[in-house]
This record gives sequence, structure tokens and C-alpha cells, in this order.
Amino acid sequence: MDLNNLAQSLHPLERKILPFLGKYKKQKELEEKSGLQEIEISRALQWLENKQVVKVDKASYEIVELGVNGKSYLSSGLPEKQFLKAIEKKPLSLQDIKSKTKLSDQELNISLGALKSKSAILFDKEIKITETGRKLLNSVLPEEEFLKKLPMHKDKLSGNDKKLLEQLLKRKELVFINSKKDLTIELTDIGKKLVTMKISDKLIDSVNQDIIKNNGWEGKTFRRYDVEVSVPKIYPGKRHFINEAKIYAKRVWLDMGFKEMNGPIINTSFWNFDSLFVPQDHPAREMQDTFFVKGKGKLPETNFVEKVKKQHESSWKYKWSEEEAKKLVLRTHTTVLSARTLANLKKEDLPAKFFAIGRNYRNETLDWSHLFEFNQSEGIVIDENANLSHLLGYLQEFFTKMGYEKVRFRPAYFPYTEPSVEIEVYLKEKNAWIELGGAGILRPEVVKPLMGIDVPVLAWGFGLGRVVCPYFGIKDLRDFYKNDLKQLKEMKVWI
Amino acid sequence: MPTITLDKEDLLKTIGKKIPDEVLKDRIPMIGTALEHIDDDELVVEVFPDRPDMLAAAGFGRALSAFMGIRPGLRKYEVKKSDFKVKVDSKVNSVRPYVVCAVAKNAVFNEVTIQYLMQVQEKIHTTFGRNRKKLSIGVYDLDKIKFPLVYTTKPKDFKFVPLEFDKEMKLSEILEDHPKGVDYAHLLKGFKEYPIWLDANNKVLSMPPIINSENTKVSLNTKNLFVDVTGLDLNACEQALNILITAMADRGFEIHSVDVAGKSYPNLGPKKMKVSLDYVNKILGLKLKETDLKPLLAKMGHDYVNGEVIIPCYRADILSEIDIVEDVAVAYGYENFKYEICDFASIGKEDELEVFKNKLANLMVGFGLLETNTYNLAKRIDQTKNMRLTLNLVEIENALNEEYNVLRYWMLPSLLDVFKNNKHYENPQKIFEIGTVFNPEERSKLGMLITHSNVTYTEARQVLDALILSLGLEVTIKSGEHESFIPGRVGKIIVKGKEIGFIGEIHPEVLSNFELETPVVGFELDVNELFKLTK
Repeated sequence: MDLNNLAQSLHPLERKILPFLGKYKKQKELEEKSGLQEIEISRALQWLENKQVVKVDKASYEIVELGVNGKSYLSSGLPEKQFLKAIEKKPLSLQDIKSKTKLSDQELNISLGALKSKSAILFDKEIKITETGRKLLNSVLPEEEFLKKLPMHKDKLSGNDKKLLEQLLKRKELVFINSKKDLTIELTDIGKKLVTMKISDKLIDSVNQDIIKNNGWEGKTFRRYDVEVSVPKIYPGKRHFINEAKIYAKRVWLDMGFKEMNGPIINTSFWNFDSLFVPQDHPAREMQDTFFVKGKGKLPETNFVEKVKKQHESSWKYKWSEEEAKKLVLRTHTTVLSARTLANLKKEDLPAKFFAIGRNYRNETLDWSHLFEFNQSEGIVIDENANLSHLLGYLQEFFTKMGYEKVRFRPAYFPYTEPSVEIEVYLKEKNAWIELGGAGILRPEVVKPLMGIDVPVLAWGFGLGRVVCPYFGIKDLRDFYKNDLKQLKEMKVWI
Repeated sequence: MPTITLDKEDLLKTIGKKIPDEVLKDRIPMIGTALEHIDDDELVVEVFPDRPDMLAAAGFGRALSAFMGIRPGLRKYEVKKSDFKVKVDSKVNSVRPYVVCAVAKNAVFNEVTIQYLMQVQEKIHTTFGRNRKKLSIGVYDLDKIKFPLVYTTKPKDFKFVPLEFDKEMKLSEILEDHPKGVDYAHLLKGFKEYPIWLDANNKVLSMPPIINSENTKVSLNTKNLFVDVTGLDLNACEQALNILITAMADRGFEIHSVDVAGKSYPNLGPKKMKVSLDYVNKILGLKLKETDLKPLLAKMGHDYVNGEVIIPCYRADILSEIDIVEDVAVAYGYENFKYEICDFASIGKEDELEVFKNKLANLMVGFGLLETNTYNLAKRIDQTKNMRLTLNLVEIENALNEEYNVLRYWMLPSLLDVFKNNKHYENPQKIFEIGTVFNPEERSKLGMLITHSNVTYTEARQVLDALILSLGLEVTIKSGEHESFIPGRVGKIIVKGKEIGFIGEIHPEVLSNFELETPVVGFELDVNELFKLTK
């Protein structure tokens, strides 16, 4: 940096200390001569070092200092002394000594050990003081002598003192070692030039009303800031990142002319399974896959319950049970919203497109790739002329907009669609195709009972979390529900 | 979903051609299965539930061979007329009524194919057979059996030597002590007598659907097989038998008929179904010609004659014409379809409540709050006791994760739990969430909480006031009571004379229950109500 610019960027503290540099090399001296506080000097030196004005040599040394208990024992006596004092007149049980001295269990144990090793006490039924003990009580203990000498440089301790220190460090907050730094401050070549310069103390530090109104800045110089320095971080309020993605995904469907569907999370099995042609003995309807809610629901009071029943019985060849259909479940897929929508559609509403993004539930044990509660993006297109190419076209459009360059489709199986499609996208980072969800054309066995007519209905439903994991760099689906505030603050938004 | 393990050498022999791994990797997914693993010796393939025929290794090889054009078309299976007879005792009607059988002769087993025989039984049992409830399969050494056989029931103290045991056990003991008995005892619960297969010498073949007898066991040296399928669904039993028997026939076994109470099994003849070219083209968006259908359907193992598809007997998934349409699509190749979108216009429309919720959330963000995302499934103790409340919660009957076995009644416990998990981060912490609660009707609620050492009611109130003002409404607070809040520091939120929530400072006992160490203020309000009030 140019020397003039450097001079103009000095903080008032730096300016104050500058005249003393070169002459005084120790922090203590600088403190005395400049009249600045220790913290002010450290900060100023830190800044000057960053600007390569000074070179600070940090020699470290250790000081042994009194701890909290050490201080109090100096006035009230070491625990072993208190111990002896308690039994000076007559022997006592340990319990009595404890209540008399108010020593902690740890202090009692240490005293007990120390006094026993010095033969200062005797165990009988109670604890008795010995002659040695009495002498000790009236003498100054080496530990006490040591404590009185503190603070001291650690490397100046005598051999005996070092042994004492080792023992005392084991005791709670009696003494501690304080690492200190001894700074030697030398001017660099830049620094040597800088101290010879005449540095104006008329620099403007901050803009105020006077400077603005009366052109008080004219002919003056502003103190230069180090604009390249890092500053403390702040964070904005933020939407949760799954909602950032949800809002974007919604936008994609809305842009393509889809209407949003909404509906309840608790559904009868009728809506969740039967209306979608899932037979009542299908494994998905067993306890381990689906959350069943206590109680029974009501079947809709329309004739399509009867139609659904007939369809099941004629295709799957079993006796359809109304009771089974009344069981309440947490919806296992947003496809239940599509079923409800289809049941309410009239012929004059066609053709039509609908979407939903909502939470679904599977009775799974949580792990990195399985959640019991997750978001699904759902869509249906009802049109006499809709076909498989259209299904693939809408999906390709959506996934391209979600940031996937390559999408491919392969045959799959779902009870309510035929043909059925598995959606795969190419992940550059993994150099692999990954499965993202299912789609298909709803079977006539689903559509006819619900709508009363057979019309092609393109349908899809896939986990939104999986789709947006790569964007957010998430490898564990549980992160969506972790609510780690640091992660929420720092997560990038959906751009 | 079930996976099967296949020996590569055997598979290539079944397909009838040597095929490089790269081609297998490309083709196997496109037939509607998923290749999970492939190495020099083995493949692991996931078979979807609609194609139990591919659970048999020979069935999988047959499908792939046709799909790749190596051996396309309908395979014909011959059943030799024999005089094997099976009697069915009417006592089975109330327990496990249906039974179908077949005989397969001139078997040549090796280590791989005998393994397959066990694999296909197990996989069909767990999937198509619904864990043996719907149907179960038995395979026996024909030469150890004397015909005619009888399918009957026997009381619980009837004895025989079950598979892998060396002593006779009572039927009741098998259900209690044999590993298979323990696994499947529930299928026979409540019955006085249990299904039993006996031969002409009263020798036991098996106790369906639990276990075979030791003395009819199949080994590497077995030459001739007797196969039975028993169950609760005749149609499914017949399909399972066909899947098994056609796989054996493909391996060169000679199939013989069995007379089961006057009906002859197996029936390996194809089924017929009408298919309309127009319908195929309409659903697939293709312009196929009549002459295209035959070769496409041949790739899926069908034949096509004059508007009719001839469907092989092992296909259990063809319910209606649409299933044929999918087969045409698979044969055509999913990778060959064009991507188009429908040519009608429609206006997109977001749900109004969702628009409103989004607005609210964006306003909250403007106040510097972080949005959280918590589960609707909740811990009962957090919703009630830890909040100093008792509530009627919606309960889950069968939660695997027993901690989360109710649906939340309100939002603030979820948010307090977030604070609990973020205690190690610096304050202030300010969070909100709009979530679904179950009272028991489903409602959207907005919860907001702020914590730091100097936080007061004022801070929560400022957010609430500014929020409601931004909606063009006015809010008043009426002092109230709520066990979760400090008495005298909680009020009802009133908008247009309607109570829509509460605001206040959380009770220290609640804070302690959530292991929190700084004061917390916040509010919760009903978003559905608030939305109505803006109208």
C-alpha cells in the first residue's frame, strides 16, 4: 500500500501508539508510556501487524497462579489444617468432621489421604489426632508456604516446589497455570518510514450532521478503512429451504396451466386405496407400511362406492369389505387428492390439469433415505387425447426445470396405472441414473368408477425431497426436518 | 419388492445366446425389472409384483429372450394325460379350500436349479402368495408317493416327521416348536383340524401351508416331482401352478396331468383377449399398423391373430385390454417415445389458502424470523404433559417409531423442540412455522417463538401487531389464561371480534421440560380463520 494511504487508514488507536513504537519494545512499557489500556494496545498492534507496520515476536511463558479455592484456603487454612483443628480437642467420626468443617467429600478424602501418609491421624472407632498431627497443626505446611509465594513463573520453581505443584494441580481449583505471551514489538522497514511521517490527526472518522450540512468534509481527508477485511456475519430471516423448493416447483406446474388440489391428510382407506384399485389384500395395506389412525371413517354417500366395489370384485375376484374401506389412514400418497378430484369432475370441466404438493406418510423406520413424513409432487392431466408421449413430455419438462439435464423413463408397476413409468434422472456428481418417482396412465378400472366415463388420465407422484437434494447438497433426507438453525441460516435459496 | 439371484451362465443358456454385460445392463431395466447387481457369476434382479412369472429363473430368462428378439412369440406347453388321482376331502373347505396339482417327470437337477426351485417357492410365497396366506406351494419326490392321494384335515395330535427333523411331532407341536410352524401358525389359528396331504399308504406328504414331511423331500437325485398349490383363492393357485410348471417345462421336464377331484390340472393353454389397434395407438400416441402388433406382442411372449392377443398361461397380470397396451409399449421401448405435451390450453390456479399462507410466511421472514419444517407426527408428552396440558390427541394405531405416535394438536411444542435441539447456537433465536394441526379436524396454524435472555412479551406482540396490520386488519389482545404460559402474561388474540389464537410468555416449568435456559415468548393463531377474516 502507498505510504500516504497507509497513514490515512490508521485508526485513532494506531495513531496514538505510533509515536512510542521503536523507542519501546515491550507491551508493558507501551502501556505505561501511551496511557492506553492493555486491550487497546493489543488491538492496535494486531491491526498494525496486519498492515505490516510492526513485527510482533511472541514468546510464551507460564505463570502459576492461585485458583479460587487456593485463595480461600490462604485465609481459612488448608482443608487438612481444618481437619486437624476439628479433632484437636476430641476424636470425631468422619461424618462429624464433615459437618463441623463443611468440607466437600473430595476435600475430606484428600485431607484424609495426606494426613494418613504423614501419620498425623489414627483410625480407631473415631479419628484421632497424633502427636505429629499436633505439631503439624501448629506449623506452616510446605503447601501453605508454596501458595503464599504465588504467582510465580513456572520455570523458576525449585525442585521441591515442582513436586508440590504437581500434587496441588490434582486438587480442585487450588492453583492453575496461566499461559502468557511476552510480546516484543519491532518496527518493520515500512514502520520505520511511517513513524518519521507527519501524520495528520485531522482525519474525519465518521460523517455527522455538521459535515453533511456545512460541507465540513471540504479540504479534509477521511480516514481510510480496510474494506477488504472480514466482518462479523449477519443472517436474514428465511423461508425453510424445502419451502423454497416447493414454491419453485409449484410455479413450474402453474406456468404449465395446472390447478392446485388440496385436501385432508387423514383419509379413509377407501380414498387412499380402494378408489385407486389397490386390492384389499395388497401388501401396502398391511400394518407395517401404512399409518392407521384410531377410529373408523365414513364412506362417501354416492354411487361410486358401489362401482368401486364391483370393479374390485370383478377384476381381483374377492369379496370387497366395506369395513376394510372405512379404516382411517394417514395418506400414503397425494394420489388420494387426484382420486377425490376425479370423483368431483364433470364432463364439461374437461380437459383439465391439476397438481398438488403435500405431505404423505409411510410407516418406516427413519434413516438417511427414508422418512415417515415426506413431500410429494402430484399431477394429473385429464384429456380425451392424452397419451403416453404427453405423460413423458410433462415429466421431462418438469425435471428439466428442476435442473436435471437428462431424464429417462423405464417400465414400472403401480396397481393403479397402466402403462406405468419409473422416472430416472442423471446425476453428474454421481455419474449415475437415480430413481425419482412413479408415473403412468390411470387404469380404466380406476377412472370409470370415479368419473363414470373412460378417459385417459395421465398421473404422477414423486418425492419432492429426493428431487431437490442435489441442489441443496443434502445427502440425508432427515435434514429436511432437522431444523438446525445454523443450516437454515446458511442454506442457499432456490434461484 | 422381491429380488431374485440368478446364475449368469444358466441365464445365458436360458436366453439362448451369449450377451455382454453392457447389453444386459441396458435391456433388463427396459423390460420392467430393475437390475440391482451384476458380476462375472451372478445377477440380482428386482421383480415387480405384477410379474410373478419372472420370479422363476426360467421365467425371467424366457421373458428376456423374447424381449431381445432371440426367441420371441408364444410358447406352447404340452401336458401328457396320466392317471394320477387326488381326492379332496370336504373337511378342507372351511380351512384351506382350494388345491391344484401337477406332475413333472424326467427332472435333471444341478446345484443351481435345485436352488432355484427353493428360491421361486419362497419368493412366490412372500409376494403373490401373501406370505402363504393366499396360496402355498409344495414340491415332493413323486417316486416316494403312492397314488391316489387325499387332501384332508387331521386333528392336532396327529403325528408325522416334518422336514429337517428326525422324529415324529404332533401337529400342535409343529406349530409351537418347528421354526416354520412358529412363523406361520397364525394362518391356522382358530381351526380344530389342520390341512394334511396323505398318500395311498397314509404316508404324510405335507401340512399346508406350514411344512412338508421329511420322507418326501426333493434332493439332487430326484427324478420326478409332484407339485401342489393350496390356498384361499383358486384363480391365484392356478396361476402359481402355471408359473412353476411352465418354468419346469422350459427346463425340459415332462409335464403330466393330475385329476383333482374330477378336474384335470395343469391347464397350460393360452388365454385370448380382444385388443383394438385404435385403442393401443390412442393410449400410446403411436401410429402402429395392424402388422406391427404381432412382432411387438411376440417380444412380450404373446401371439396375435385377427384382433386377438393369445396370452401365455403364466401371465397373472393381464386383467384387461390396457395391460396389453402396456406390453406393446414395453416392446416398442420406452426409450423410443417422443416427448410432447397436450395441445389444449388451461389456466393455472394456486389454491387460495396456500397463496395466503405463503404471504404470511414471507411477512414473518421480513420480521427476521427463520421458518422451520417440523413433523405433523408428534410426541404425546411434548404436546401435553410438557406443556402442562391434557389434550385429546389423534392417535396412530401402529407407529413403528413409538416416540411419534400421535398427530400434533398445536404448533408451539414443535417449535420449542426446535429450540431444545439448537441450544448450542447463539441467541437470539426467532422461528416460525405454518403447519397442519389435528383438533381433530385439520387446520393450518401459524406458530412463532422468540428466545433470548432479555426477551419480553413486547417483542412477540410487535410481530403480531405488524403482521395483522399488514393484512389490513386490527388486532386486540384480551387478557386470558393458558396453562403453558405465565399467569398474567398471556392473552387471547382477537381480530374482528373473533378469537383466533393466543400470545404470551411461556411458563418456566414448560421451559424446564424442554431443557431451555432463556425466556421464550410467542403466539399461535388459526390461519384458516384469519384467512376468512381478510375476505
